Amino acid sequence: MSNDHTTSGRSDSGALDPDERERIARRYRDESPVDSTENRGVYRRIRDQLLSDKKAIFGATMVLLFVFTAIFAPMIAPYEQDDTFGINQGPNSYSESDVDGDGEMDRVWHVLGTDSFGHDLFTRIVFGARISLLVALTTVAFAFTVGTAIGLIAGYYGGLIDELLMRYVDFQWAFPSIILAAGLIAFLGGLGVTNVVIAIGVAFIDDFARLVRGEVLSIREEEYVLAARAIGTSDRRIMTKEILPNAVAPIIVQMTLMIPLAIIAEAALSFLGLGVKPTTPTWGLLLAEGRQYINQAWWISVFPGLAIMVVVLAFNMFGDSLRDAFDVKQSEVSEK
Amino acid sequence: MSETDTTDVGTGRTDRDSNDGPLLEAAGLKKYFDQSDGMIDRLLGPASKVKAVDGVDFELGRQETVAVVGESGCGKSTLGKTLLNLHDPTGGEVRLDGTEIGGLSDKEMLPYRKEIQMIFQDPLASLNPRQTVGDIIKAPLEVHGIGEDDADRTERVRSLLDRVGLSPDYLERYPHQFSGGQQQRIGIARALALEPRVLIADEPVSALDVSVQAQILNLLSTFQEEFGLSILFITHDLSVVRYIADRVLVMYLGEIVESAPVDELFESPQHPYTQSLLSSVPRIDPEERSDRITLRGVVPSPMDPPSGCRFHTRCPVVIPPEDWPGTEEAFRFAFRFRNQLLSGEIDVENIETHLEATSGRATTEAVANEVIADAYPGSPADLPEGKRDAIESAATALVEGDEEEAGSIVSEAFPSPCERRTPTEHRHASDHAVRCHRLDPSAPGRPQRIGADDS
Repeated sequence: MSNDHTTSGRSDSGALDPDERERIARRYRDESPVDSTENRGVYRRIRDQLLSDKKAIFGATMVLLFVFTAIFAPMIAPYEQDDTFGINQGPNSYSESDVDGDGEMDRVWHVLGTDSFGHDLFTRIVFGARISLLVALTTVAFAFTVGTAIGLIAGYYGGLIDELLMRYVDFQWAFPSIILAAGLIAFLGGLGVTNVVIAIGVAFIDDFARLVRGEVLSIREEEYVLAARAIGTSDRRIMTKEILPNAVAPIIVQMTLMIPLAIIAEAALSFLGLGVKPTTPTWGLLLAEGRQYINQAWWISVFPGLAIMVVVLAFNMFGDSLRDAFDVKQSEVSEK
Repeated sequence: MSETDTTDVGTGRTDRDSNDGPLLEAAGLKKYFDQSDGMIDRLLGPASKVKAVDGVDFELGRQETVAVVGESGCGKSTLGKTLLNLHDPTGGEVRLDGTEIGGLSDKEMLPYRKEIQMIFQDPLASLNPRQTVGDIIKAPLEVHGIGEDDADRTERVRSLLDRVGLSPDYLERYPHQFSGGQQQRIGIARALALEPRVLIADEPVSALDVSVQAQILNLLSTFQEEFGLSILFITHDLSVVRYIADRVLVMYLGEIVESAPVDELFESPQHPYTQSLLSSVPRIDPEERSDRITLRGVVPSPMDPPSGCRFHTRCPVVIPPEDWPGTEEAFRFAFRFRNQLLSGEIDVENIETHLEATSGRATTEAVANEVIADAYPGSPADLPEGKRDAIESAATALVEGDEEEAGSIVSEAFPSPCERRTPTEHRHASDHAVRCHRLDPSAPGRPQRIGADDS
């Protein structure tokens, strides 16, 4: 455009003189961005929507209560987790025991009764929350890390890599996860929290891998990914900085929905005797032990079962609401 | 167009020049897209290919602005992306300052990315919604290791924002908080962060308001002078072309049909396609308004482009064969009838229903007559004897449901040299190249020079 014939042909509209350029520039500076109230608006919108959703509030409250219980278990539980009292006592019963160690027998109240070993059921359930939360969080974190890596790589590169990785994921998906977990525990040898985490975590990889791959497949076609390539951005940087942050919403939702499944899986493994060591208080183990006495002492199974149900339901409700809140299409409709 | 003798109108000399050749050039550049996906498709037979860019030659001189124009789907965006190696070229060469860069891997391409950058049509879509403006513009600096540390890079980003006319305080804002024009400024700042020599602008103003368009174009002009940028400007908007370009390439179905300096192209377009494109540009001055040449028919699929001259199916001045007995206009009408029939545009059922509804009865003959009246623009009576019969029997065959028969009748009766021979490049002037049989003295058939006939 610097040549003679073009500049003369459009001298009135061609390159701007510095004054005019400055004027335009100033105009742009004065003009505030389209709506400054929308700064970080996505998060505020999600928060508002969650606050207006009763299910979400209930779910969140129960989840917080659960987490609080797990963290402060020793303070909340009335007795030590290994204290024994009279066996198979019903809810709202009393027994004599020297709980505070002062040499005198005290009258001890069992809100939820005692189990077949004479443990206070309420105490066991409170401590069981710790194991459940620990297993759930580490399991989901493990599955998220591995699954997201698989999904990212498969979705981004496509082709043979995609085929290989996704065929593995399909294989795992088709395989019952509890049997896979049981097999893994047998393979890893021995009971224990670490093995349970690995076993359930591996079984959950496929869910994250599929989800992330699907997201990547659509995001990698976005023009900003092309723009990043035009700059010369490496594949790894594109995957971690351009694509993954845009897939974060469905991943968070998936995590909240996987936590209750992990709690159930842990309980199921413990119930089958494949979970943590038998003396550890977990909900699944309590449920399993109570099974033998279900005719004489229904409370041993029922209360841990209720605990599992309430926590799982709470996580699901919260997760569902979170998914709705993240659903851009829905919220766009309601905004307009 | 292999213009070895180009008189590069727009070539300015800057001290960054290392040799006198064109800065960016493409020779026989091709990009085909494979339509098959997956192994089963591949096993089932040869894949159909979309020939988005099919043998393009051009040169972009230093500090020159070359516009690529054409309808949507003609392959102009693909051309831009292929030049940048965002698509692997299927064939041909791309040379940047004499160095072959076509088909380099991402790693090999990295150093050249500093030299050749791109801005996109949809400014918002090209900016990552989860990154701040600062992150977006800083990315190229980080990738290419420009700047000493993060603070230095931030400082560079601030000055870039200032240069594109945005406040440096917008650093922490997200793309959706800006207007379209501001978003495009961000895109330009990102592209210019590496101080490239070539900028590929893929419809950079199409998504913007007219008033904002002018600002963005002015910004590009300013930078062109400051940095000595060469710009390949891809657009479908001819009014923008006149304003910004030095030279224009007109693209049709993956091929360049005409290339000329901008003033020459607007004053004396040679290719019938260019003429029809130009006639569609709105003009304020009634004196300047020419008769609009409306193109009929749909754009053929690039998967199976027409033989010979790709434009022949829609050409308003298609050439009759040498032994054509009638007038050129009659041939064109017949040829249009033929093309409508061949592309399946004639809706016999609809005509039949309509006829039944209006006259109660639809005989084959009546429907055939209606088909001719519908698809043949003039009066068939003007056609020479034998040819009129061909139209009638083709229409009858079509109504009777024998599309193949109808097709072969018209193909045989109305052949054109345009569909048989691929036009070669004809140099209308030293820097004006056209691919059209009409301008080629050695072309077959009975071409009258454009404008000489009174259609």
